[in-house]
Amino acid sequence: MRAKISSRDVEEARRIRREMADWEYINKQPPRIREALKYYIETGDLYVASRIAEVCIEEFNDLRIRARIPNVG
Amino acid sequence: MSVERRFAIADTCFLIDWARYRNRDLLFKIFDVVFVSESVLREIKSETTISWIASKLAENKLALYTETEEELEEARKLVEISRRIPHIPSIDLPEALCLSIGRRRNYVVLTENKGAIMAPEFVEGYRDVVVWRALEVLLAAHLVGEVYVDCNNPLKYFIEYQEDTLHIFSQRDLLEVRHKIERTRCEQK
Repeated sequence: MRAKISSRDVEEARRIRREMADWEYINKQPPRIREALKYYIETGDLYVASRIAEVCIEEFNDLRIRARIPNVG
Repeated sequence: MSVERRFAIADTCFLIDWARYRNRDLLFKIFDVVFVSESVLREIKSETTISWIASKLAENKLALYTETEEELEEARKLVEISRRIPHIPSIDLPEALCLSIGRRRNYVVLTENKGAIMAPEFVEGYRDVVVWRALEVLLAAHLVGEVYVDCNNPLKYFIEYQEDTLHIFSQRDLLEVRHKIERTRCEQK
């Protein structure tokens, strides 16, 4: 058994993140957090997003959940 | 289907979602030991997650993995390679390190990073690395009989995982796992 995804899955995940995100919440955040959340929506990359936000990955994951951005897998 | 019990190495993205899951100890029904690197531990801050990880380290279900210079160097090269392949999402150092360790030590790599999931297919030398997401861990738990399957609601554990973590599985994946669970656990009854 192996995980397998395609480029189409990556695009679909981005679409779902954009649609489900709470944009009102995101746009109220301080600039660094706001831009990190937008970066996460576009890429799904939790690690780099956490570095943009200057928080650890777990703290950024909490921000992601508060902003209603799903981790699409 | 039998799933051999074995070692895994988890990256942070997998572990922080998994730690929020109500049935998180299912992980240790599938793997004898799940390694976590020192860099993964540094990314964990909440009391509940730290408490779970510390207790599982004490029970020898989780184990600390100290990476070598060679593994780190291989991981850095893998990051560069991933940047040269246009149709896969880039791989960052933490996931690359898990892939490097997985390749060298034959550990299952637990990650949700899409670049890391695609690496065995597109990066030379990584074809034999087995990468699992939460989806595969949950499916394995069903297929080996570690969870009770309600054949009227075979996706119960997957739905609960989504609720606990705001981690959404694709409809296609859910349909596929539903068929596998029904074939393995329901049609035999």
